[in-house]
Amino acid sequence: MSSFFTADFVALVIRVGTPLMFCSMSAYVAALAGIPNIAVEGIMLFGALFGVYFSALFSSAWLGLLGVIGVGILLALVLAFFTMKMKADPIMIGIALNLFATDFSVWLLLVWTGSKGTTANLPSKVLPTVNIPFIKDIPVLGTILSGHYFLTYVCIILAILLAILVYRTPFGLHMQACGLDAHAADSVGIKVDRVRLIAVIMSGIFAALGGAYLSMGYLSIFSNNMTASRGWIGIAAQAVGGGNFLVVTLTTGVFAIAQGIVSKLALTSLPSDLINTIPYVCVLIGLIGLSIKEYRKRRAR
Amino acid sequence: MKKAIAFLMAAGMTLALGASAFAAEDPTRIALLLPYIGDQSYFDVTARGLDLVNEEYGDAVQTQLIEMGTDAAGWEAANRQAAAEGYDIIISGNFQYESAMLTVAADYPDIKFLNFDYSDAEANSKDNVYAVTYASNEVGYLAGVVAGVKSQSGIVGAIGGMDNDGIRQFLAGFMQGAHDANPDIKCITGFVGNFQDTGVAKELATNMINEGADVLYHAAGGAGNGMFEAVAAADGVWAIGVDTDQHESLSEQPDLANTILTSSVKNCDIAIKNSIGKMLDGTAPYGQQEILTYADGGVGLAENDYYKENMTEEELAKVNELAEKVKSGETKVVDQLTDPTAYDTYLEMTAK
Repeated sequence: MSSFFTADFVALVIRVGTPLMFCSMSAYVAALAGIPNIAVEGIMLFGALFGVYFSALFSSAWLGLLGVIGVGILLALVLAFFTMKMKADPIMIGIALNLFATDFSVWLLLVWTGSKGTTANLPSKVLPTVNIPFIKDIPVLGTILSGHYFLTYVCIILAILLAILVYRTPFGLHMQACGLDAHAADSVGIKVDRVRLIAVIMSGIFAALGGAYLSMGYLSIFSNNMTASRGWIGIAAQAVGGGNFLVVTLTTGVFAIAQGIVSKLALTSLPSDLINTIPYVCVLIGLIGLSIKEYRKRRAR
Repeated sequence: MKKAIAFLMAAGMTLALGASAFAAEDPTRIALLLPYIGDQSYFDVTARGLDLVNEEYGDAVQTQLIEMGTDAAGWEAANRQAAAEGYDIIISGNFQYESAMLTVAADYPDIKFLNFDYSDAEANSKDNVYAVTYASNEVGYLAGVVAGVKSQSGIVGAIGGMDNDGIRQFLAGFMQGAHDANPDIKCITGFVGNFQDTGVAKELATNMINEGADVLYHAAGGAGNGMFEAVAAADGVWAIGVDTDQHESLSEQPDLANTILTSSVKNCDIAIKNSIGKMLDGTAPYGQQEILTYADGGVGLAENDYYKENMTEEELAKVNELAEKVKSGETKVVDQLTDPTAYDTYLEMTAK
């Protein structure tokens, strides 16, 4: 058990938690503005694939990253167009995008590489890992804070910026207002569609960056379906936290710790089928907690 | 208008089908049904079997690869459709996909089915089904021998995909092989939970390396690529691939390929070629099952140049000595399928 209270374990949790945090932010910001984005998984998968493809095409990880952001925005615009312009149900569009991503990514993989499994034969690039000077030499702190993938630091910075945006700026209030009651927001002069569009675009970028993290740093190649439901864990974290970013973040942390525990316990002789359920049991417990909270709130009224 | 187009399309398809049916000398039509190809591993080797059949029999056969998709609901339908389209031989199988094929086989007694990697012997005992499989325990054993011989730290690791007896079979053999090569060896094992999550496989491998393992093996399909990434990030650690020569199939990613000392392979391609040969000349023992072993050439090690370069004379000699004992039958590799305690027994024996 001692191996759970080490700097290595914290570093592990940060590694597996980064993509989850991107997904949580993606689900959070869209839902906050009133357009639930359940296409996180699909956009993430595209982000992972296009990052590898563009980085190979331009022989540059940075241009690859730029491409990922472009793909995220593009898919967000698709979601925004159908939900806001065509008034379609966002859940249906989300499902459609997810299904589309699962199969279309395989097709693109086949066209680009001639293989349906991985991008192993594309000369793709990865984003660097960041060693922070001075801090990296401090024993425990160095392991925890330094030596992570570039996008991990981006994730942390974006999370802080997002918190400031939501809680400390008028635009954040506008987003919350649009999520709570679009008509009321409209009546006081908030441009609901514009606010929502920006929120959805942010959501798309977050999800795509989550994918890029997986294929352009954490791992160096894209493999079929590599997102493996991480997007859905982000959506679950959003469901638990609702409009409260701190709760969303903490819930994501719990899921990340659960995944970290899984990868440690998997090497013990405990039954693996049981161990692999830990993150999902955490999701369930979180959702049960949420229901109890909602129930109490309703009774109190 | 729509109806007219639909009619024209239907007519066109009928003509196309009709034309192919009247092709010269009625070649034997063979369909291979796989969920997908491109895993740089198991399914790709199997698909290559079809190419070998084409090379060997040329115009006498007409082959088609059908990808069924990963959705279990579609597998039976895909088999049924292949049967309805009049293929003479349908090839499919493996523990996950065989039940779909066997259900359809019962309804089409005139069509011959080849299960290229069966798991449930009883279910495969049908008059029109010829089933072969590979001694996965020997595949694992050979990898284990290499790992045990190569390990400097005395600790080796093995990662499985799903936790079931089919995969435990590999790992049990692996542990036995490592133990035979070095009685003091410590083995660490872990399961990803599926065959796709490269991220989880990478974390498992990283944990094993942190615990001192310096040779890692996987039986985790596509997820195994994550293990190679973890090995590539560490110094002085070797990986062993599975099913196909993964050093070769990952050659475009030198960082990953160069971690792969060798691979323990199931020769599914050769098995398909040989089995189809038996089916074409009528000597296939339908209703019976065959286990292709190391002695049969059904399984083996990928003894490529990279492997020979990175093994010393003594190490090669030791591996060959232990491998020969399997071939001659002197070493009996444990069989998880008949003895479900084999995995746990060896896990305990190599726990230290």
